[in-house]
Amino acid sequence: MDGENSRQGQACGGRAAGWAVSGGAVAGADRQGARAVAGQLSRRSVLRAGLGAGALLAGGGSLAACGSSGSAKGKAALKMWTWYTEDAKAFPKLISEYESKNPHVTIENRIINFDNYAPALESAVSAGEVPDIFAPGVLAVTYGKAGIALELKQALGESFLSQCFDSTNTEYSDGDKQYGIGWEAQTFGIFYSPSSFKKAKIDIPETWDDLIATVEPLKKAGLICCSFNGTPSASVADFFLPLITQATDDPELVINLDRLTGSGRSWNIPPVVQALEMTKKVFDAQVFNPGALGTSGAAQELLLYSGKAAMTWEGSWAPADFISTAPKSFLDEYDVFPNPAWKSGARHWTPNQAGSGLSLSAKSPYVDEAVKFVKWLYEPKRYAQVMNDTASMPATKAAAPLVSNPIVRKMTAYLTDGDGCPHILMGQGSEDAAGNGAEAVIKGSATSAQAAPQIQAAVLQARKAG
Amino acid sequence: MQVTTSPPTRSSSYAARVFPRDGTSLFRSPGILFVLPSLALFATFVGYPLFHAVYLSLTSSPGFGPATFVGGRNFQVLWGDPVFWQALRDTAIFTVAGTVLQTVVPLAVALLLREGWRGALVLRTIYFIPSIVSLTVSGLLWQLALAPNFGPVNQVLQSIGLGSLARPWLADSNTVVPMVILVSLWQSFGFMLLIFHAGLQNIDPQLYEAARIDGASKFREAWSIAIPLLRPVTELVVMINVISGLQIFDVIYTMTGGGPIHASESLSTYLYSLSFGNASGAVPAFGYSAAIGLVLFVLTALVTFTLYRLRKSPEE
Repeated sequence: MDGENSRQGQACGGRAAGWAVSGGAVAGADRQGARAVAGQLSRRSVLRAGLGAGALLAGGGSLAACGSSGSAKGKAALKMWTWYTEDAKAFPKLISEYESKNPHVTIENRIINFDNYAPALESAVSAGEVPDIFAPGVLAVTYGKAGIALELKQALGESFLSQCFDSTNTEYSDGDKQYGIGWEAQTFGIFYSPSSFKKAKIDIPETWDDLIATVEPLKKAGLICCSFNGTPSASVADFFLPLITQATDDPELVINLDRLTGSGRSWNIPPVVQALEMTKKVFDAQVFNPGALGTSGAAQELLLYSGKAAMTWEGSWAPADFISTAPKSFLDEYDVFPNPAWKSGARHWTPNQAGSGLSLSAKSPYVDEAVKFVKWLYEPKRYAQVMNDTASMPATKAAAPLVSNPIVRKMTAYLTDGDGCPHILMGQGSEDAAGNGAEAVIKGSATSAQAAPQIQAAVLQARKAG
Repeated sequence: MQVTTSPPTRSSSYAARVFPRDGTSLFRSPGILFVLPSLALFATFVGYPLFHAVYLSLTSSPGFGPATFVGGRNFQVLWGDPVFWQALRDTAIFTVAGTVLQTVVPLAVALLLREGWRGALVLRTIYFIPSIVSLTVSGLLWQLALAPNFGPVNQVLQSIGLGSLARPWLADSNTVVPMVILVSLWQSFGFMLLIFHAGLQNIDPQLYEAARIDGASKFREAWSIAIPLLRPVTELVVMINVISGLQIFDVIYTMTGGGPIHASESLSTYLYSLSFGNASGAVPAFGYSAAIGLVLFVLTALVTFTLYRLRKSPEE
């Protein structure tokens, strides 16, 4: 064995020697080259070359930065970033109209997929490249306090902002300052198929108990009562949070819970437990489709317009979805009724606020132009037209009576009637904790009394994170 | 006179090489010029972000403006964060289960296909198709397939009389992790199979012939020849699977977003959610995310280093 290895070793050694010869020739040439280069290259010259390359890179970066700052031939080049895909046709038309009337302004419109929007915006903000006009999501107040988003009461004027629904203004306000303006408002309701109601011989339910009572007749008629979308879990929070307002008739409580102030210093309070109990009651009664917590928004709507479910619990963006996906027979007959009430005669509190909004960069070199453009967008006739073209719910009181889609008009009336209540949580960890708490109760992994302190503990834990 | 000299230590010999007294130094070597571009790129895109992440993990930062130095507070908070421990546990499960399945199953199939069946090439091509589909697309496809109401998986179960097994696969805390592991296996299977197949091609056929002459069965051939000789390839596959398991993100993000109730949360999805998702609401927690990222980095480095040592030791 050793002898075999030895033979192999010799063979390899022979080959290696051959390599060594040629390698040696190469190495010799290398050494000569190295001496020649070493003669010209000192440590200083290498460092100098490195610094030169660095300067070139930095210079390139600066040039690129100049290129992206947007001033082309003295024009104000505004950048507008949103995730509003429903406006994909409307925005280019509006921009082109504005640019033709204002030749000194160009507007670069970017609509980024919702899933990618937050990383894109946060990265841009981190890099100091804040778009001049942007959809702030839940970050408006945070950015406003940091001097990134423009204070709009000063920039647009209080009278201008007062044309918007209060709930949409509150969402973007901190004290007496406001850092965003609602673009679309939203309310929730129950969309239904009248023919399914007729088939099961049921009436429009007024309360949650009435809704539960429709489950059996609809089941007998071969129908799922109501479809629901539990993916992502924010939808569960959307359902559960308004029930806190319904239990108390106090729309401020959810805001206080979000901020952990006043009456909402803790989530471990009776109204939260009651709201969780109602959530559990509705789910246990099989009001919603099997697997509701794993159902996507598209499947939820499909269940309704394919005739498998008689109703669906959803927001005011659904009519626009239905127009693009549902069959005409469904579009001709479907209707909507308000979020069921806690008890007979009680108010039909429904989740609202702005589904989408706009903020302006405080650091933009073109603040005045951005302000002018936004004011132009919100001119009542133009704004109402955009909302109608996209079957969206307007955020301004002036546009509310001009809504042309009958379903959206009905849902806008929930707002004007004052039945809107908050459901968009801004506080660190609030949305996640509330949604998960409600989901745990629905699944039976926690009782309502256990889930309320768990939500509080999760929120407190999240707020320790820096 | 007696002169005593001590042998040069490792550090002093290193210093002597870099800064020799005869004036030649590493900086005088022309090789430095060739290394410089990649060194600069590495320093810019790996070195700086790494050191910045270490710094960020010691701060409280929403991702803009000056960060507030908080020392080790983020790590202290991490210690008491149940979601972090859940994510760590899930990451360990994804890594271990994923590594075992993504190594054993492709290896077994590669050994079966070794026999030179007529359809082996077609099968290999079919098995490889998922690997050329992006993880995001795979995740979305499987999300649709496993949907509770219209998903083909539940519909097939119902059509064959197993409707009682139908469930919201991705919304059930008990089934979501196995589903993610299965999809990950589906995705990586073809690639791992290809690596094993390439490894099998390198084994000298004479070894099999000799074994056959000695009366070895097919199983014996695989067990005593193919598997031992595939050891370096298997080590590579294990290494790839462990690293991708520790860093699992795409499949979970597209299929479940880490839910339900963090049941499928991995360290990567949790840190993403704290920076860009709803886990932190309106105040992104970049410092805390960086702390999680650092834990993940250390974990990956430790596991990779251990595996590397284990891999090298028998030959040494």
